[in-house]
Amino acid sequence: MVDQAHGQDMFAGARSPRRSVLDLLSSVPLGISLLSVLFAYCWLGSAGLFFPVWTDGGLAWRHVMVRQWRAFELTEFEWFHTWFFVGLCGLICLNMAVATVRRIPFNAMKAGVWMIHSGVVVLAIGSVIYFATKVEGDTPVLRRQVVATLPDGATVAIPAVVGARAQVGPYAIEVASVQPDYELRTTGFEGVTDFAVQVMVTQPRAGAEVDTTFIRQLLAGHPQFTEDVIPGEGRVVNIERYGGAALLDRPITLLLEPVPQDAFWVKDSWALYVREVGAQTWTQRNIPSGGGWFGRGLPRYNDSFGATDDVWPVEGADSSGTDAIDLSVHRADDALGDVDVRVTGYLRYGEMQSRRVPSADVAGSPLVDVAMAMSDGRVFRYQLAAWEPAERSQLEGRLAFEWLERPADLELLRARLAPGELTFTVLSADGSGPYQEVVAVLNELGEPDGSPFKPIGDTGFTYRLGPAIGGLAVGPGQSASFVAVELQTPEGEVIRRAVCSDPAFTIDRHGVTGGGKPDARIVTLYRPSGREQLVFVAGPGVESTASAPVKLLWRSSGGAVLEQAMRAGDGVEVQPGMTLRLEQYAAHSGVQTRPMIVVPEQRDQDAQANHTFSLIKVQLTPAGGPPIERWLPFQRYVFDDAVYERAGLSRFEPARVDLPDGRSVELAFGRERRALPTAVELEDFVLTSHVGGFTGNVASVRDWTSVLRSAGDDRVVRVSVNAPKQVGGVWLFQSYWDAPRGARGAGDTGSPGFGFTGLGVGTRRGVVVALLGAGLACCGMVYASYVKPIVRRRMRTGGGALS
Amino acid sequence: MTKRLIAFVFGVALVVAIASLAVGMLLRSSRGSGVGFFAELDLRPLDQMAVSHEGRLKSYESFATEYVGLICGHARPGGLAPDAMLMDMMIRPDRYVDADVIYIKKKPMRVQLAAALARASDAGGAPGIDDARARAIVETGLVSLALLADDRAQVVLDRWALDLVRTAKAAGQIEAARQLMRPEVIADALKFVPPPGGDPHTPWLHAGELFRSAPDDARAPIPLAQKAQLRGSWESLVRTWRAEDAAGVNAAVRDLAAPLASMSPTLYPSKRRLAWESAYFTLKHLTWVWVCYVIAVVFLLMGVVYRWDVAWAVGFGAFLASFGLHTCAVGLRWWVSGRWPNANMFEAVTTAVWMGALVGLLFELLARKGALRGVFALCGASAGMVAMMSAHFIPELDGNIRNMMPVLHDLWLYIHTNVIIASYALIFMSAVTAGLYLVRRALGGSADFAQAGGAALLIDQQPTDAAGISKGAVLDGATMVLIELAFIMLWAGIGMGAIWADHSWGRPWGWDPKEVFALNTFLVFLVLLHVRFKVRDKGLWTAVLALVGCGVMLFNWVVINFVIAGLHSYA
Repeated sequence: MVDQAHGQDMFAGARSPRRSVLDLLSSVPLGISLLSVLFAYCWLGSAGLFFPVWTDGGLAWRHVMVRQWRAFELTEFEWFHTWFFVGLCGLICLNMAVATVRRIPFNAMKAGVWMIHSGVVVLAIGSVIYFATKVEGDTPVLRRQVVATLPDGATVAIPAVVGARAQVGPYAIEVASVQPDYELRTTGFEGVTDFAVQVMVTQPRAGAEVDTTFIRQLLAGHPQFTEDVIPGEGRVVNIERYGGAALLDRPITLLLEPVPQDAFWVKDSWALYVREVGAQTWTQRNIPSGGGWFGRGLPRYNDSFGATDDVWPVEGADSSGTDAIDLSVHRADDALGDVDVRVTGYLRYGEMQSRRVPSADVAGSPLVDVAMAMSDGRVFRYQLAAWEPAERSQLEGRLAFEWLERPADLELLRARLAPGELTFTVLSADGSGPYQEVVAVLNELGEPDGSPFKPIGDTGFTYRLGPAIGGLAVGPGQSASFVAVELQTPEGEVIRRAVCSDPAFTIDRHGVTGGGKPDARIVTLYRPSGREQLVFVAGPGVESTASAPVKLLWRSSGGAVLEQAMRAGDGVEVQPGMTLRLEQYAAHSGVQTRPMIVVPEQRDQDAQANHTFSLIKVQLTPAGGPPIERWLPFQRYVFDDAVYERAGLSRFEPARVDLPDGRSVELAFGRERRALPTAVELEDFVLTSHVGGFTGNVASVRDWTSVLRSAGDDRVVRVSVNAPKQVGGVWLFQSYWDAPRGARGAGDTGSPGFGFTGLGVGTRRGVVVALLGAGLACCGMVYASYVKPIVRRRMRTGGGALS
Repeated sequence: MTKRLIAFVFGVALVVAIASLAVGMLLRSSRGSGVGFFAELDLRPLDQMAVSHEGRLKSYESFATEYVGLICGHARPGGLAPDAMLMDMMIRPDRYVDADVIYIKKKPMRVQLAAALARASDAGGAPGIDDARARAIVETGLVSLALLADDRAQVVLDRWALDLVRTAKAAGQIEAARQLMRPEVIADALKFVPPPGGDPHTPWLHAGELFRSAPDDARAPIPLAQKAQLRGSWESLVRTWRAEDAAGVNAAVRDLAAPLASMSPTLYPSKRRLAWESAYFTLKHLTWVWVCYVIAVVFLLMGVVYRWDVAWAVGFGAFLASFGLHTCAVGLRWWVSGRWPNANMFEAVTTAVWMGALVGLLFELLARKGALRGVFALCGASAGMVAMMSAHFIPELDGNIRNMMPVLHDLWLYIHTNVIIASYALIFMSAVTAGLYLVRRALGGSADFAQAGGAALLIDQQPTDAAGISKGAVLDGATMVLIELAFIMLWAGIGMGAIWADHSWGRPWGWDPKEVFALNTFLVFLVLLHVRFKVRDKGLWTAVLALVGCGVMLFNWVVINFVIAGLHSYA
């Protein structure tokens, strides 16, 4: 601050260049201008720009992050560490220091201002130390590993993650299940819970005994209660022939031990990992980060790839191709030391997808690309390959593409497309001939509720059709189709009959309970239609022309089988509100795998921020060989083994590359990995809940604590939320944990959680200096604002003479 | 003096009368809400029944308000109170299939849904909803389960679910509301039976678990007689509710709630606490206190502008009474939640301004005999009025009481957060005087400013100054007094935040948007203090920059919180 009363220059004299510079540097307007620029810079970097735009829904605000523009490509940290920002802060400090020395007298009345300005300078010094030495990252620490040892010393360790498996001598071991809160029932330990791992041990020997496979249960904190279970027989201790032993007599020792973690992964960094196929460990090549016009690294926020055919075109996404990048990622001492390795493409959010494209390969299947447009604007796209059983149909078989060799095949198809038929045969009570009526089953959903019953001739029976369903299993390897029908007898009773294509399985249900033999007075037979409803056909068995090589056959809502010759671009309204359009036909096709850019509105914002679906394109050029290109998906952690993917820590999708010289290598894309000063092990993980216990919701969690053992000094430290600990020169803090989760889809069984902890890793040199500076400035503010006026008033009233 | 005293008492009485009216209306509307069966219900015994929900023991009223809010938002379909509606939804779900109870927050989404439902169906040609129903959907945002199950609605919902940026979250909330309306989900969530033994970490039981459990179930070791009694009460409640037998329901509710506390006396919250929690929700978190603050603002404004003692006295009395009610709101929330209320947006807004109003009151007492009389009370009342209006009218400021996130369980939550939000309240208050100063200048007022800055003005003031100081100098001086304190508190708060971040996140400063904008707010006031040294029209520049600073502060609190994700987004 500047003192008006004492605003005279203490270095007054003849004007000189030096004095002009000093005048400028001690100028308050300069300080105000610099602070205003700092304000604007901070605003732009942190909040970006908001501006109004006119949309269909009216006026809306649009938000853009300036630092993420293609020109900058900077993270928050990078934006606030550019030369401009550092220079600006330096200039402000210089201006403040010079103005203080030249313009503000050093006395008790001005002590507050001196303290404030000194404090800010000290804070700046502390910040320079902190940010110049700052390292920030994170690391997961698994809770336990299973260590298997044989008498000959052979040892194998696998993480205690369901599905982890290994071979040790003749034994195959596999982690069958993990129970993080296994409750002990042993006397004296009732109610105690422990981390339990069940390991399946298999000894595949010729002439094996019945107990060759057994499960060994290991408890992290209670090794004395290790016991074996024989599938189908129960705990070994309860089986008479083992005489009360808890363990089978097998020369294999299984122990549950902590897993040392000796590395962490650096925040906002990129790295390419390389290893030969079969090797266990990766070598790392750091990829420079910070793209944009001013950087020479890998971009983060904007797609960069050279050619449009690098990615699949997607409606709504910009797949037009942009500036290509060409980053050399060299390292001489790894498996690709003699190969030129470059990163030539980057996608922020994409997924690898295999699609068929027209091909000259005559072995490739014929292909149609079809668009189904609904009247409400929705469009569904399908790709069908006639020669590939798994790709021949969509929509559970209703939409198909068939290659017909003979005209007779077309006739068969027409028959399959015809609607199903339900035949009623009513036997008369008076001995006259039976009455028969055939009705078409046109609608799989049946007739709407409340539809009237229809008479079956003059028999007195009436009926109403219900839903039809096909492919139901009725026995081992046997399936059948059913149609539900409600029958009203002449007596007025309503029978609900499930009519099966195999009459042996047709049953009646009277009222609301029970099912039994069908009423003998009325016999029903069901001939289902084929599954197909919309079938594209091509091939020698189809009369077609070069201009319309494909024919579409479909069943109309009235049950008629209709046909239409088609060529690419043609559309047919197959049902009211549904148009089927042939977008492409190719006589032969091949499969290509490329990334597909996910349209912005379908991107998960957290996943995007964490680069979960980012990809890079790597180009390998062996000496004398052609370039080989691969897209690599981002992996949060690049582990040595795929089993860690099961723990939910990171995906594991290395790409294999076969080089012309016969070598095969694996490549993976992730973050830079650095060594921790000392390895840490997770001794225990404790979740503290609020009243009512942990419900699965974060609101019920009070705190969580990782009990860590530092390998360096064998010290046990407890890291919990808001309580970091220093281990070997870095600070470890509680970042995330393995929360239980339900199944995410088919094939996923979910996770019981508690299998690992996530630790943040950081350095904090200079922090104390910076905080001292902030504290000094704060004291100065209090002094200048509240102490000084009191002092001054006392001076005035008491006639004191502090100056 | 007597005239002022009478005016002061009148101001207090006015606010007390309004508050009494509001309390009476809210209590009446919460009891016997609806018509017929519902009008005869007396669910008051449930106010003292605790429900274990996501780590908190809530009163049934509190639980029902939060649960129904997840379905209906702030709307109260049919005028039913949440406690009755939740019970009805669980026992008679069929009544809610066609009832418009599921709330859609975003208006453009309502428009899209109503338009889709108004079209005739392609399949089967089912007619669309009529114009009146479509308009009602757009206006109220409420739709029924049956409408959402319609194919046309499903198409829209599917499309919303795919747009992860704009609509997926709202679509997820609609789907969650559908699930929450399922009677078995409500019954499962209603964990009202405490575990005997008093272990706080043992889950509470819902009715189904209690009745299904075997007599020797370790999770439910409840004496058979007690279990039978509870079961009888529960079944009686369900039976009589279905039969719309209000007297039977009232008796069943009494029988159900009575024995619960004795099943686990050490664990069960006190009846007084549960009753007050229920009352807090019944009284709508007392956010209607904004009306009382309006009275104070009107009279204080007259007092300041016209230097009219009587108006000041009425306004000061109303402000004091309003602040008392505001204190009750904050204190009651503190007591029932078991923690100082500053862990979410609702609490931050109401508590920050309570602290600001407290500072305003203290400054007012200091300045009551000088030229600044009325100004600080006016600032405090204005801030209280705006904050309580925001809490009352903005649905995003969710008033439900929940547990804090684990990271917030720290001493620094009480130090850093309170210092920061109190500084924000002071910044807002300084914007009030700055705004008045600018209005005065716009109306032709002279370019006066306070000769002494900040606290010096308070310290140096003399009782005789009042007549000699212009209104411009008064407003400018008050602005500087408030800014000076806000400036120091903001700096201290940022520093304290760095200390907390250092031991919580492992780094003191991470350029998180909230951090940067706290710094930016500080920078504005830093510029203000230095500009004041250099410019001639100090009052004008001070007022303009005070408003800019307030704008940046509000931007930080609103836009940064709700639009730009960051580590601080929960606060």
